[in-house]
Amino acid sequence: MSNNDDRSAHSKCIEDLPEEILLRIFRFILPYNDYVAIRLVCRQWERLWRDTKQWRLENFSSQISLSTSPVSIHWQLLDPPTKFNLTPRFAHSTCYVASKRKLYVFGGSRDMSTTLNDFWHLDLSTRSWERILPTGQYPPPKCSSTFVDDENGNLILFGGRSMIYTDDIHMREQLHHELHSYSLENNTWNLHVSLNEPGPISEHSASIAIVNNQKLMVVFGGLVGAVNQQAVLQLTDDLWQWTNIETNTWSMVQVNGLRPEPRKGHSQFTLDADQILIVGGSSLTRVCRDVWLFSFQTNQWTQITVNNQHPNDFAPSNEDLPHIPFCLVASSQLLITFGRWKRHPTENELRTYSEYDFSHCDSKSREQFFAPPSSSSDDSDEPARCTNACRRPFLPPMKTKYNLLELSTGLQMYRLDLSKIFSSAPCVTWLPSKCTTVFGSPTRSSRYYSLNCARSELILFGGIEKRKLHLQKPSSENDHRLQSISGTLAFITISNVSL
Amino acid sequence: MAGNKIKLQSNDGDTFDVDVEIAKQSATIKTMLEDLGMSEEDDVIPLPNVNSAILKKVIQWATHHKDDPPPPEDDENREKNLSDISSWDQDFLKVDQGTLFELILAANYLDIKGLLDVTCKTVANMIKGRTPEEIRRQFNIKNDFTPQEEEQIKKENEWCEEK
Repeated sequence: MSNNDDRSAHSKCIEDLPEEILLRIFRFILPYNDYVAIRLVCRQWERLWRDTKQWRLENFSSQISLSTSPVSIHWQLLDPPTKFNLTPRFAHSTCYVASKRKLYVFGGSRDMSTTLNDFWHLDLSTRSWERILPTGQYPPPKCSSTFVDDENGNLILFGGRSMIYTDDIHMREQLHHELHSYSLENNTWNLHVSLNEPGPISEHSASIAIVNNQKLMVVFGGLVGAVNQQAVLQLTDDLWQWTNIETNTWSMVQVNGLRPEPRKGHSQFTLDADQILIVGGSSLTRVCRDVWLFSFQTNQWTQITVNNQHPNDFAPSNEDLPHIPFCLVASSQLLITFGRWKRHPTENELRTYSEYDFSHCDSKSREQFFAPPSSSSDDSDEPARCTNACRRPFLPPMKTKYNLLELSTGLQMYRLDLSKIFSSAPCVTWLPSKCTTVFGSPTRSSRYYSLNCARSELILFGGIEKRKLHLQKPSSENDHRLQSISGTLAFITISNVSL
Repeated sequence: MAGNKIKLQSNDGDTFDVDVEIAKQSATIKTMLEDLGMSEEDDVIPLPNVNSAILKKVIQWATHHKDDPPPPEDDENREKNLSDISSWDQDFLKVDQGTLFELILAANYLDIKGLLDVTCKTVANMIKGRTPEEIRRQFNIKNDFTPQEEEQIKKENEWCEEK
């Protein structure tokens, strides 16, 4: 650092950099494989890695839970790989495996009539996709299956649905009853048939719980019907448990007292090892805005009070809620989901975006955006530009490329606060929603995307947009012209904005 | 104010004529000019921590980036994105390691956020995807762990938040 002649005569090396600079460099390093490497380099790096990791953890969990100050949400979009064909999809099954630092993706729907059974992983260290080609008993093409890590080296794929032809032109929905396990170590699929299995089921939910010191997969709700039978599909409120691939035993959980209304498309999370939380989805007659908690200690369901359903702004709309997944950010005790804009951004938010969210657009559009409104860049503008009040660029007038109409096509982040769920008066609370970035937010992924929380980031993949046509008669689900399926992969990071 | 120039002097005595607006990308110089009222043509700003070769590079960078939008102020807390180094910057930073580190030190001393970010990103890219041994070789770092310490670290999870 010092202007020592002896020193400056020599070429500088990394040890000449002050630690604050090394920390700055480390902040660019993704918290996956590279974190394993940098801490083993030397003692100094190990210490700085600790600081960096702490910064990442604290930054993410504190900023995501802030309710008052503005939070800027950064979407980093990754284009689909060009080397091979990763079909845009929705209602696919994903599972984040922390030990592998990878996101596993199975199947899903390519369009209204075609389901997939290709299998991929996304390496979070390198942000690259790879198609997995396992051997063994391969699962059939399907969507809306559950996919959970049994925390014992296997990923469990269960249920789901696909479309089959009943004759030359007609199709019908087929539900699946199979349970497959994928062995991370052996790269094989295995089918596990059991006598007492729940039967064909789709749009159910599943999570791993620990009950009486035993790991179980717990399955709730969903669409059910008989195999190969054109019976009317129904919804269930049954709660099932499945042991593991060795004993492969299903049993229905005895429920005392009240049950939640039968539903599908909901999300399920295990809290405190043996408590099962249900949120979202829809029943036959309504959108499920209720939240329930099942305890394996009492075998009872409890309906949890939901605060801030109104102002409606805080919670997803009835249109979105049945079709969007939630993900749990355990460190902040929050459930997160994304839905389409329901409101216009406030003045403050507009300012925030105009200041912060250009990192995602390419440099050309950025230049365009930042081009001064008047083409003559008078020198007299210069001092004004440098004063505090208008040092940052503001949203350009409507005539420019980005107008308010486009601003309203982004996704909004919804947050359900779980911190009081185990208090004496259990409740969950919708926090004020966050308008997310204007640019880069994957507008096509408005439903049936997947959402996972990895290391200080959320990962959103795929999905389908159903465009609203106000002037026409209600469109049928099968109208392809109104559907737009997304191959978007987005990494969502969050940081504070100090206005 | 149009076309106002100031003189910057490197630690080996060379002086450079630079547009005030370009020089002001350095928060350090900007503060000097504003606080000390140094705006007269014949004022020379001495930069004792920067040699002329590096100062030349820095001025080249600042000239190219003179119309960039100002960087956001929350930068310290912002998640960093590695992949967005412009092709001009990539070419500009095709230099030996010594020069790269000197540029970092100069950008830090002169407080030029954009240059500091892009140079730090470049170093991060040199770390990315490598083994500890490769990193040590790359930067000529001595491994000062004992074998026992190394074993201990390998056993620890690199992301303790997880189970």
